[in-house]
Amino acid sequence: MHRRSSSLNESGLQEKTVDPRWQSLYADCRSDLYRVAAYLIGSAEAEEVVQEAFERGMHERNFFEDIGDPLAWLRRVTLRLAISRLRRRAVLERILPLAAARAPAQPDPDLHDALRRLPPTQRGALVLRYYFGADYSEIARTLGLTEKSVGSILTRARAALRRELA
Amino acid sequence: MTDERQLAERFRVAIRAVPVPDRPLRGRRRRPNYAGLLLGVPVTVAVLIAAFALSQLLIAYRAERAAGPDETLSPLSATLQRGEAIELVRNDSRVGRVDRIEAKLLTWDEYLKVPSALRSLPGDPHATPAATIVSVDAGAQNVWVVAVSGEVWPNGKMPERFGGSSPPSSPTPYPPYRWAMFIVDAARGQIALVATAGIAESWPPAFDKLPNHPRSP
Repeated sequence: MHRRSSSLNESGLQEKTVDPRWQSLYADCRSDLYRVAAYLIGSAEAEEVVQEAFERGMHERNFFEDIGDPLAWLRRVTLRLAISRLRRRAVLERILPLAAARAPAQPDPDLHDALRRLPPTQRGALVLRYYFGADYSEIARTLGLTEKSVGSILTRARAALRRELA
Repeated sequence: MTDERQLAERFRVAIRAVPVPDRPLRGRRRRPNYAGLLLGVPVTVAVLIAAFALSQLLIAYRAERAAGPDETLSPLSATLQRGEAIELVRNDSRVGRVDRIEAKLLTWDEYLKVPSALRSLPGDPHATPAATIVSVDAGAQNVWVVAVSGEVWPNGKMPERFGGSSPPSSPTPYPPYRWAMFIVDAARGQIALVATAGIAESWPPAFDKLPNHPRSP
């Protein structure tokens, strides 16, 4: 029986009480989750979001037994946390324009700038669709939407992106 | 479809180019909760206002209880009731803002036992008071002593010139006193005088030591 840790320590998942399956999961998907989160919300907050997603997973009772696809679960939680922060930031930026985060240097600045001008849900849907290759039902589960609304959100997001990139 | 593939490729390239730190990722740090602050400030202000209002109610309640007559003392006759004496002073032109006002019924002799019961009151409370003692021959009359705090001008708000041909062109108003004790003739129901006033304290220190007779029915 594996014991679960209540939190991650400074050295990531090196605590000896941690289920070894967490260590392999962390090694497998940490970079990918971090890249997506950093692309959406910046590097500083991305670290917190990824760590929080893992912490939440570790707090789940019988995580590996009950969760069919741990990677999809972590991706879903990470994306939700990132979108939640994007929404909070959007509110804050409306109140305090100076609080707008500066975008880091990007290999495709046009795409990044165009994405930044979209609403948080559209950003999340695009990343899920075009980076993770998620289908509508997965996007709907992740973003807490119906499949029908995912279709219209993606249509609007693509149209807005095309306009911005034209 | 080509468009979709191109878009997917751009996302893949852009996201995979994001550098990942070699060190372990940092855990959640406690950041200022701006939304909480924005909500918390008005709530705090509302709580402070409610607490202030409650404290004022408590002070008023305690003052009202303390202002009640001492039933062990002999009743004194008075044509005015306590509330009427208070209203008489409150509506006097020499009284401005009223923070607190109370009245006690006693004899004039009892009042004169108070230290500095009668003082000359210059228009400007910061001026050196004249040494003159007001002489009042009231005998054993019953009086309402009405203490008021807030803004009081025992000599009126504006300096007056007597004997001149015309008033000053731009007279400077006197600054107010912070408290005063008015003497109301209990039999005639009129203000007799402003006996004393001050600016050092927010409430006449002698007032609380005065006896407070019940009014005879």
